[in-house]
Amino acid sequence: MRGSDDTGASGPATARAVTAWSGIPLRDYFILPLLSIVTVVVLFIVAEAVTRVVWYEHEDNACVIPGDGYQIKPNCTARTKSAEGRWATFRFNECGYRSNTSCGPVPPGTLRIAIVGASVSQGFNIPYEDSYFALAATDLGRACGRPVDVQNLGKPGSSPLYTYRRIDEALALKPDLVLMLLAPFDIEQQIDPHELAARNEAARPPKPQAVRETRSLLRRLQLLITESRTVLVAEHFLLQNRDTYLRLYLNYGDKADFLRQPFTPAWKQRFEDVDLIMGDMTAKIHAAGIQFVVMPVPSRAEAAILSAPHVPPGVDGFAFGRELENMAARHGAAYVDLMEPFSKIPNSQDLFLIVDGHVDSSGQKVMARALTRKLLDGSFPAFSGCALPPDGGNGRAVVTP
Amino acid sequence: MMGSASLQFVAYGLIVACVSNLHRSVAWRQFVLLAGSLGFLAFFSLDPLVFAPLAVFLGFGFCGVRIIQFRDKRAFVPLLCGGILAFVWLKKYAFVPSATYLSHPYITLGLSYIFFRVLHLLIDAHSDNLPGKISVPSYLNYTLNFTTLVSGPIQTYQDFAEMQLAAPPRPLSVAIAGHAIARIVIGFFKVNVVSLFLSMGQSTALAAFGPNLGSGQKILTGAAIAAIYPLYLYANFSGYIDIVIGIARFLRIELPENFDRPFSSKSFLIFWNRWHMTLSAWLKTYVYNPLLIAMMRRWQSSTAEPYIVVFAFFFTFFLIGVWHGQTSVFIFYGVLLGLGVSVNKLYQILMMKWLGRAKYNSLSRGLLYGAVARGITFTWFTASLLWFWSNWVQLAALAASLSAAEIAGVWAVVLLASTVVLAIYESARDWLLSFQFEERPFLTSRYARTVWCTIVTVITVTTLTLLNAPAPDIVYKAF
Repeated sequence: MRGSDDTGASGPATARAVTAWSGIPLRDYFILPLLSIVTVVVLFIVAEAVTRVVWYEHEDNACVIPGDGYQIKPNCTARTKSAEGRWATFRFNECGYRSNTSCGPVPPGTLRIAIVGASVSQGFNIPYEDSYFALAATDLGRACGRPVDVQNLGKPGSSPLYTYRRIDEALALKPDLVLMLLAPFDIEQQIDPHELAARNEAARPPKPQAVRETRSLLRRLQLLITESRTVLVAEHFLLQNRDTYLRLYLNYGDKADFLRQPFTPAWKQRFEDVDLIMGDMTAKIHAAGIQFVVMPVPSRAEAAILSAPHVPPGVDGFAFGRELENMAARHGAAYVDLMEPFSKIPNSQDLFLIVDGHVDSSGQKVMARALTRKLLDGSFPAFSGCALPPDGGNGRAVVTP
Repeated sequence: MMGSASLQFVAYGLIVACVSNLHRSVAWRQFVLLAGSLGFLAFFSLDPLVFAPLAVFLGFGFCGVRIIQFRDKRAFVPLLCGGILAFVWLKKYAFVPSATYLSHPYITLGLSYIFFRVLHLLIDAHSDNLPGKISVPSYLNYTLNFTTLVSGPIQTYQDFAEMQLAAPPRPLSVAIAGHAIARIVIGFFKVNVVSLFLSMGQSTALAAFGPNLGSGQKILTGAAIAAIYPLYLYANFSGYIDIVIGIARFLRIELPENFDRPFSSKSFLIFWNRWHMTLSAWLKTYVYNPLLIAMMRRWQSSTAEPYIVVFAFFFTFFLIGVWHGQTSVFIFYGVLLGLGVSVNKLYQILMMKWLGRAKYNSLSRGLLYGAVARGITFTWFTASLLWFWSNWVQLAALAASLSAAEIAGVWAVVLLASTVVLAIYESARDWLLSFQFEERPFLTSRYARTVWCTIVTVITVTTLTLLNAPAPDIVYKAF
C-alpha cells in the first residue's frame, strides 16, 4: 500500500476539496473516524452473535413465582444453562425445594439432611447428578446402607439473615442434620442493622420498595457492553490465567478484602453479623435436637491463592475459612473444612466456572468428598456405624488422598 | 529489556518522533535521533563495558572511512579485511578458535546490520560514491538508527543522508501520517498476532509429531511443521519491518521496503528480489556484481558466461546463508539457498536455449505453470529453512521418525498445498483488486484501509489482552 497516491487529488474538483497541508479531503475528517466506529460496532455485533450461539445461555424462570423474593412453584421443573456450564435440570418438589424426593414425613429408615443457604447451597447451574449433595447422598447411602434424603432449601441470592429466617421451615422437615454452605460472596452485602436487630420478630419489617434506577445513555451503553456475551467470553479466556485473575481480583477493593489480613472494618462488621446470626441459628437447631454443620465454600480467588506458589504479602486464602471455623467452634456447630482439600489440589481455581464464579461439576466432587468424610468421622450420631465406601466414593476422581 | 516489536518499542519510537518534530533543523533532528538510538541501546544494558566491542567496531569503521576518503585509498583492502575479520570474531563464528574470544560479556545486538553499513561506507568511500565528509553524528545516526538497528532494513548512506541531512525535512501530512500509522498497526498485528499463532501452531505440530503416529498423520503433521515456519518468519520479520518503516516515517525518514509479497514469486530468483530485499540488494551490489565482473574479465568466453552467472549466484546466496549463523547448519543452509538460485538460473538458461526466449516467456505466463512454479519456489524455501530454524540433532530426530516414502509424502503435500493455496490467493487478490474507486483499487483506498486497520487493531488488542503473553521476539534480531 505504501507509495500509492493517497492524496485524493485525482482531479481538479477533488483537488479543491483537499486541504493543502493534510493531503486528504475535508470530508474524510468525518468519514474516516466514522468508518472506524462503524467497524468496531459491526465487529461487536458479529462477535456477540457468534458468542451467543457458541456460548449458549438459557435462563428458565418458569419455576420462579414473580413478586417478592425468590419463591418457587411447587412440583416444577426448569432447565437452565449458563454460558460457561452445562445444561442443568432443576426439579423442585411440592415444597419448592431442589430435591428428587418428597418433603413430607421422613420415610422410616431414611436419613434426612436439610440444606440451607444461597446459590452454592442450591447447586446453582449444576446438573442434579453432579451436585455435591446428590453425590454425598449417594455415598452416605452406600456407607450407611439406608437411603439418605436431601431437602435443599437453598435459594440464589439469600443473605445469611434470609437463611436464618428459614431455619424453622428447615426444622419442620425433621432432618437429622442441617447443613449451611457459605461463600464469601454470600456475605458480601452489608446486612441492614435494623433488619438484623429484628431478626427474631415474627413480623418482618417491610422491605423497602426497589427504586427504579434512571439510567443515562452512557450507563446503558456501558451495561450493554459489560453484560454482553462477547465480554463474558473475553473475560473467560482472560481470567483463565491464574496470575492475571489474581492480579485483577485483588484490585477489587472491598469485594476482595476478605482475602487480606487483618480484615478491614467493613469485613469485620460482616463477620460480626454472621457470627450473631450463626449463634442464633445454632441455638435454634440444637434446641430441636438436631446437629448443625457449617461448610465454607472457597471462592475462585481463594482457590487460586491456595494453589499459587507465591501470594502477595498480607493476602491469606485461608482467612475466610478460619473465621467461619472459629465462629462454628464458638457456637458448637460442626465445621467441614473445604479449604484444606482445595489447597491440596494443583490449580484448584480450575474447579470453578471462571466468570460465573461458582464451583463447577469437578469442584462439586471435592465438596461431596469433604462433606461425606466429615459426616462419617464418628461425631454425628445419625451416621454412626456408617463407613466410607471401599472405592472412596464419588469424590475420588479429583480428591488427593 | 524492551521487546523489538512490543508496544513499548512502538511507544518509544513515537515519543522520539514527536520530540524530533518539535524543530525542523537538521541539528535538532540529528541530536534527537542519536539520543533516541543511544537511549534504545540503554534498554539492553546500562553497563558501558558491554558496549565496548561495538563502540570499537564503530570507531574502526569511522576511522576507516575517513582514512580511505581523505588519506590513503590503498588502505581499503586491509581495512575491509580487518572489518570482516572483526565481525567474524565478535560474532564468534564456529571456525574461530574459542580461546581468542573476549571473556567479558558484550552486546552484539544489530552488529550484523552495522557490519553491512560499515562495509558499504568503506566500499563507497573507496569508489568516491559518498556525498562528502561524514560527520560523527551522521555516521552514528546512520549505523545506530534505532529503527533499523535490530533487523534492518539496510538503507544506503546516500538515501539516509538525503533525508536526514536535508534542510527541509520530508513532508509529513495527515495522509502520510495515516499511511505510517497503518504500517505500524498492520506490522504490530503481524508480529503479535499472526506470527504468535503460527508459532504456537508449529509448536503444537512439533509436540504432536512422533514415531507413534500413523503414516498419514505423520505426513500431514510433518508438512504442517515445515510449511508453517516460512509463514511465521514472514509475519514476524515483515511485521517488524512494517513497524519500523512506520515509526521512521514520523522521524521524516523513508526506509526502503524489505518485502514485496515474496510467496507470489514464480521463481527462486524473483523470490530473493522480494524477500529481505535490502540484504539481496546489498549483496548484489557488493558481492554479485563485482564477482561477476571479475570472473568475466578473467574468463572472457561467451560460452562460459552463463555458467559464470550461475556460479556468481551460487556464491552470493551461499554467503547469505552463512551470514545467518555461526554453525555448520548455516553452511548447509547457504548451500541450499545457493543451489536454489543457481539451479533456477541454469534452468532459465537451458529453457531459453531449448525453447527460445519468446516461447519460454509465453510458457512462464501460463496459469498452471505459474501456480506450480510458485509452489516449487515455496517448497524449496521451506525445505531450506529446515536448516535455519533447527539444528542437526532436531533434524536427525525428525528424519528418524519418517521413512523415505513419508519424507517424499511430506514434500509432496507441501508442494501440492502451496501450489493450490497460493494460486487461490493470487486469483482472489486479483479479483478483489479489480474493484475500482477513484481510479484505483478500492481495497487500497484510505476508506478500505481504515476499516482494515480498525479490524486489525480490535483483533490485536483482544488477542493481547486475552492471551496476556509477551510479544514474540523478532527472529532476525539474532543475526
